[in-house]
Amino acid sequence: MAGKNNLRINLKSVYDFSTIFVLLVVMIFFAVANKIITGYDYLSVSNIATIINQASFLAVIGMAQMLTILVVGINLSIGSVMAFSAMLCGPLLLESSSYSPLLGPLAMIGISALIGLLNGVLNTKLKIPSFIATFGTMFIFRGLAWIIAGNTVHFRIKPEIRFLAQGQILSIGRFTINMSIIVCIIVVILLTFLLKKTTLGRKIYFSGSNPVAAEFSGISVDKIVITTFIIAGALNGFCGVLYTAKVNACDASMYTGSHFDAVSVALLGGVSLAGGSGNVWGCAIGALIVSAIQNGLNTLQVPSEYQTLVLGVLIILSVFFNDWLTNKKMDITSENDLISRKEKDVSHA
Amino acid sequence: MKKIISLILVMALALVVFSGCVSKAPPVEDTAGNSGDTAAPKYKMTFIVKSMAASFFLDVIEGAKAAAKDLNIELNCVGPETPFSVEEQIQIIEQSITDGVDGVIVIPADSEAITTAIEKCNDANIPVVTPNTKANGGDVVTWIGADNVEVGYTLGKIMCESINGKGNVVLLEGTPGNSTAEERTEGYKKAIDEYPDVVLLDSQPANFEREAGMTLMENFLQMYDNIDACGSGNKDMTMGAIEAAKNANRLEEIKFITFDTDEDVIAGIQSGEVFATGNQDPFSQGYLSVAAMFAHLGGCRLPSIMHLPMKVIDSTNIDDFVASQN
Repeated sequence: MAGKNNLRINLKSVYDFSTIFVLLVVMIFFAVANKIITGYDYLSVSNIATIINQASFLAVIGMAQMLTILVVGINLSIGSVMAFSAMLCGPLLLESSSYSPLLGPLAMIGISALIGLLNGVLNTKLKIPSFIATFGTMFIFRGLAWIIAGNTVHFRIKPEIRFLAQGQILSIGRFTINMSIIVCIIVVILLTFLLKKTTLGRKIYFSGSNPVAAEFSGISVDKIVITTFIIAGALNGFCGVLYTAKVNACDASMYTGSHFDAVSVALLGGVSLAGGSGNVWGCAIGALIVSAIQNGLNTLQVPSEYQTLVLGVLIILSVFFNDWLTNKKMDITSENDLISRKEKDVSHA
Repeated sequence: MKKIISLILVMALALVVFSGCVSKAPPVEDTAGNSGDTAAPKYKMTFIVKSMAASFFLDVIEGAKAAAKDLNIELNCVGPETPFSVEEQIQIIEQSITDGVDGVIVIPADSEAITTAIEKCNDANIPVVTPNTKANGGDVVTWIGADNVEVGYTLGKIMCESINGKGNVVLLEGTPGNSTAEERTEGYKKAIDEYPDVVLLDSQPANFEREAGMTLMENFLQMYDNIDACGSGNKDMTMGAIEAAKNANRLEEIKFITFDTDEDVIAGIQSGEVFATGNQDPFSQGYLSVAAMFAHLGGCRLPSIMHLPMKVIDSTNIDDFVASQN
């Protein structure tokens, strides 16, 4: 009995790592495919370093999306808000500006947090589903970015800001660690702390997984949702800073592909659209999966027409696989609960 | 109380945001070309672009308005509310027919779907000019623009010449399925085929996006130890790719050939990061199509296709180009 139970517990911990498992499957697939088709060494140290460096930016975007999804929302306006805040604050970010390098990024984060507030209020007070509210704000802020900037491009960003994304911290052999990885890890730690160690974090999960019960237990769900949108907005602004730092420029049409990246990272990271379930580490791994796929498609030289198709199919497969593993885990968890409860009953008797 | 504060904040944001919007750029602008003392405009025209939210088309409109002013034309510049919506373009054309304009100038968002609207103009005896993008049917006075295959071919030749006809090259393609992207790539490849010693290592899409261009170039740099030149379908992808090359300390070895002439590309040519770029000259497209319509209405006969030569800008003529822009 005990042996069987142990086995179940071990299995459960395997399923806990379902996203890692998906990542491994994706990487092995591309490694084998590359060996056979192109002879390129997909798992070489330097290629892995490329994948991780590329993933670090995606991970931050994914976490901004995850926060919204945790409270049963979705944020389609991420790219537009980045463009809008960058266009407003662009001149402050430039090498030629005499302002402190902190001012521009902080202003972008502040503006984006305000837009988060707007999204949150639209969602809760005006009862507009977040999909529709952010669908609307997506157009509004992209449009405003165009109106503010027209066709100007702000380029040559302050080196201090660029350091956030491009600073090379150290190289171990052919493995280069960029500042973006460190930034990503800091965000992961901060968010993990927020979500796991603070009452606000617990309330976010609770409000997301069961808003009615949360409301009855005295949590003002609206307030929690709005707060979450504000935090997600601030993080969104930070993504804008990172993006600008990364490409050394910003313009009004920047990052139009953001929803694809943000949503797929969160979904692959095991964040449930039903709300209240998902974690920061999942997002980080989700980002690794997306960049492993993108890198894999590039290294395999998949013709352009097929890349979009393959990306879509891989996303569905990985999300399906991940869900399947998670469900398996749930089954075992509930069985284990049942078993331990029975054992408790026995010992009580 | 907190609710009220948050509402006020939201309203304030909305107010700031919308006041900026109204005063700066209403989506429809009338340019009555009279400079005060001249007579009433002779002709009334509608100029329809694909999108009012793309820098390229804003430049086209600027050119069109300049022509309207010079020729004393009442010009209404419009674009669909939803960028690249051909349905809205058709509605605008129908409205223009009702309004009784003298000519319709339209950059079709969809070459096929626009033909019904052009046929309606033909029935109403209103001449149509299509700058930039061709329409597949209907009677059109003239098409004015640069051919994208030609654009890609010219850039491809420059790229191959830049490495003296020998070396490894990569291409950054635009969005898969987009005709502009495919035609430019086709042109590039046509040029590369003429140089037996130029090896096309790889050609993949980066969706006309800066960040996608950067990611793709990072992967290329990772895969290939020797890249001599990099061609691209537009400048955003190139500017991203240059950042990738800088980070890998491989900027020096690669010649970047690109398209479009925004400020960052010009600065790139001045600093030597970009080898050469092409200019589709949106201003001239706008200006010339209004002028062509004016000439047609005045009884001139025009050729059905008017090619605007693509201008190539590199370090040799960048100063002249910058001077001509100001």
